[in-house]
Amino acid sequence: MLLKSNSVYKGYTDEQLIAEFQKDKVEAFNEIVLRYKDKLINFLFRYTGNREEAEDLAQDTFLKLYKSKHLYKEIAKFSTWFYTIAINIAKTNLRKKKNYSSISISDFDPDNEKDFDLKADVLTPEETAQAGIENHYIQQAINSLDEKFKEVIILRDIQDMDYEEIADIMKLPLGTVKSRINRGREKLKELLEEIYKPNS
Amino acid sequence: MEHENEHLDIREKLLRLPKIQADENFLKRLQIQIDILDSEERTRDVVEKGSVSGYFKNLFGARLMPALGITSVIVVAVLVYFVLADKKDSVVNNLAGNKNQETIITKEKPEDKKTSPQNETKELAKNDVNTQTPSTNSLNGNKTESDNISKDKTAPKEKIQELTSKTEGVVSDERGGQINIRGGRTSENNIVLDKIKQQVEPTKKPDEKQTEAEKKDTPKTEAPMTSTDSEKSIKEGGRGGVTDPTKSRSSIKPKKKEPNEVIDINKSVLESLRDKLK
Repeated sequence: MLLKSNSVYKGYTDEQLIAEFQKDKVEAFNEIVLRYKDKLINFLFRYTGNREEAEDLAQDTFLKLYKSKHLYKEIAKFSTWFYTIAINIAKTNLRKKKNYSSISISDFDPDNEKDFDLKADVLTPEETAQAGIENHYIQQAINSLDEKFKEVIILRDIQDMDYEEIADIMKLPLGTVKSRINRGREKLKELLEEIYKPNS
Repeated sequence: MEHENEHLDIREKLLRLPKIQADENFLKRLQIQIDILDSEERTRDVVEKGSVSGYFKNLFGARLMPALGITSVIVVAVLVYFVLADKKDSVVNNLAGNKNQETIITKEKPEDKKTSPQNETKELAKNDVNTQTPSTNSLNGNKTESDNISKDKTAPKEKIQELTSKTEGVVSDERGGQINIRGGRTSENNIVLDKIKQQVEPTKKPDEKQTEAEKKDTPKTEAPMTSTDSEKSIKEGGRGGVTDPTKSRSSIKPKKKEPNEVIDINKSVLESLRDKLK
């Protein structure tokens, strides 16, 4: 059975979809996958810095959701629960990577723009090239951040999530989340100044 | 709020980063993963259902044999313990039951005329105390029974009971003579061990009791027994149980044939006693 969008579930909220999926309705799960696959891959890419790794982790996240659908309870938002699973899987993978110390080939080629899908109709070729380089350096700076800053920066400044939702996902107080975001931005700024010096 | 407004340029740069999208093959690969997962779950269910036959194989595998051995030993030990405990309880209950039966038997013995010597002496002593009637010597035709009877009447019940309980039947008299309580201490009622006689005799008991009461009230002014008299009484089986129990018993048995004579004799004895008291 291929994952296809079902028109019946398009108007459902995330919580309604998971409730339907808990009743063994696979079409609801298909709708969830279609809604969250791009967001999830983007998040995981910014977290890991590698596209293939991000896709593998995204598949693992959806499989975990498929197996553990009964664990969701309507106490929190579905997105909160879903991103918690994704972050846990990403952290586990990061620890494994540290033990194995694997290196991605794309890291050696700053001109390699395969990791970045830019909309060509918005930017000029020069801007595209410039943006690609800048994005690369930003990504490098994000990869260099500490794990606790990287998570909150990505969720807030890339995924554009609310502070309350970030606090629920990270299971941290609201003040801690805000302070970490501020400190993470400062650190990122310093790294970017070191890595990339914009043309003045 | 100030934190949110700080470093907004960095936030804008990050928001402008390109959004990564999933490949076309992402959904296909995910579908394959889901199908594999479903098939694994189905095989697990099949294996669990079909594992009944292989259950015992796994149970008696090399890993579980030591644990099975230990558990079986423990189970057997527990069973043996409980079985032994039950047996002990049953033995104890049987013993307790036997004891109860013994008590029943001892109680029934007087009715069956096969009482123990002590019980016989007690009964004889009680009967003598209550009735103060002559002993079996009256059946032998001894005239001196009245003297013996009068003296026995004066003996307290408690003393007699103590004596009967302590001794085997031989008791010292007040004058130093020995009396075999077993043989001769029979009451008027027990002289003839005949059921018919016993039915008739109880009617006399109130009179006898009255005479007993009168005799009790009177002081002990009776003439003391001489030694010869006591010897005679002892020999002849007077009050105090002179004769051997075997003789007394043997003498009792034939007396069953002459109940009327016993009644006459007792009356004469009573009358003599009354005269004496007067």
